[in-house]
Amino acid sequence: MQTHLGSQPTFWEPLALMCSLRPQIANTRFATNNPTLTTVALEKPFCVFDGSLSQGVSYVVYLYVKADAGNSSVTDNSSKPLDTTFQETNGGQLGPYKAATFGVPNCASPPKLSDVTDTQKVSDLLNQYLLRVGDDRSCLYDPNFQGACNPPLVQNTAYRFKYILVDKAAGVMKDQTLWSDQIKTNKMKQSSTIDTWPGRRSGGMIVVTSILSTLMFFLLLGFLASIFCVVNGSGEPETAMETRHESQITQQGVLSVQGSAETAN
Amino acid sequence: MEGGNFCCTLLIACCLSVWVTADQYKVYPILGVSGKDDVYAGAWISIFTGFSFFCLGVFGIIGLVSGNRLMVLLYLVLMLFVYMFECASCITSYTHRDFVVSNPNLVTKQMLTFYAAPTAQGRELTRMWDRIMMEQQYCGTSGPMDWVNYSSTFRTFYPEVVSPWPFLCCKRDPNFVILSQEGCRIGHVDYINNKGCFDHIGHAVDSYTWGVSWFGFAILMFTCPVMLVAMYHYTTL
Repeated sequence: MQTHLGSQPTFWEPLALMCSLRPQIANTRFATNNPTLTTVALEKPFCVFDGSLSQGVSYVVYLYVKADAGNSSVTDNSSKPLDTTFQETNGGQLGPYKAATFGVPNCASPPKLSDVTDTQKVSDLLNQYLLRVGDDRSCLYDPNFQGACNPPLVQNTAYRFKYILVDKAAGVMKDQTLWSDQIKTNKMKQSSTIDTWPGRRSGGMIVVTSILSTLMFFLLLGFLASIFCVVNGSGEPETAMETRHESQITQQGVLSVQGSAETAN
Repeated sequence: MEGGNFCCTLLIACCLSVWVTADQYKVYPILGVSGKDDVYAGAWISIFTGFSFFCLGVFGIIGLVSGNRLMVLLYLVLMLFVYMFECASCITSYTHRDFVVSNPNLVTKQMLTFYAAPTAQGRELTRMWDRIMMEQQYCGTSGPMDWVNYSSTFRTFYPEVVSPWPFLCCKRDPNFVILSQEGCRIGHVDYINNKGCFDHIGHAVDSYTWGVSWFGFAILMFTCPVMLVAMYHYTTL
């Protein structure tokens, strides 16, 4: 919001501030988790109400939240701000509820966003700069809770937000922003619906499978061929060799028998 | 003949498989919890087949040198069996890799289902995720938004307002103290680890697969001609 303001010509500022400013969602580069399921981080209204502030009066800013459909009046007939709560409006469904009150942000010395890297200052900085709607889990269940309760929002619902400036002593509204654009809380996807199908096979898998199957095929083929060869081929030549061998032995045996017989003779 | 080199290669294959089964990246729970740990099964098979190839190599050499036809036949049959197993190990490892890390969905789903679950599997997986997120300074599978976009066991225990993601996703100082809880909660880039663990896990599974599959593949490519030569020898005995 500040950078936005800074770029505007000064003479436009009062008009712009009076008429067209609306609550802005915090920069998603600054707060990556925004909006979430149940929270929306808004920028606080820096310099927005400057035109309406008069000296010596203490002011406070209220934040109103409503679901997109509900009616939009935040004051009664005598311009007193409504004191509706989250429960009364059914979480903003029936009308705006007061979600937070805070002091008027200091326009003269706004927080330096570059300080965010400083771990000492970051907590203060975030408090000054951001308003997290839906931040308080316990206030709904705490009977002693006083003030504006800011319980978690409902997921997947569009909300609108409005800041108003209230004169603390008189208790009347002095200025207001427009209702913000619709800001929708996230919708939670069921983790059971994640599709784990791997999709296309990788090239490596295809290469390994096809080549190995082919090799296996050739090996079996080779094995069967060699068995076939041995069984088929060994039938005649090998038995022939063996018989020849045997016959040689028998011949030798016969010869030796003959020889011995001859010598005996 | 082929024996010496062959035996050496197979011993190396054995060692490689031992390296895989020892799981230096410690990603076994991811595969184990889903009941799909085929890379490890593949590695065990390849240890076994590597050793068998080695023994059979020795046996085959003896058979061929002594010219015993029955021994060579036995060698060939056993080699074929072992070859089949090694093929299976290669192919299943690779298929399994495709199944687990070809996209982050499976790992994401598993993380969301089991992280913080009070079961034995849940505890094991939680420990593993905690360790990876802590050591590598990663968050989630594809990034911290995994925790936000999907319902999860973690979410049922920790409402989003308090901790949109596990606190191990938050950046920490050298003393391991969270730098800023508020900053981490809104997801400011200086206070949250933006990178997902999927690359790390994918790298681990990939390198295991690489070891088991491609090395097995190389061995099988080498064994194939060896066996063909042995078959030829067999016919000439």
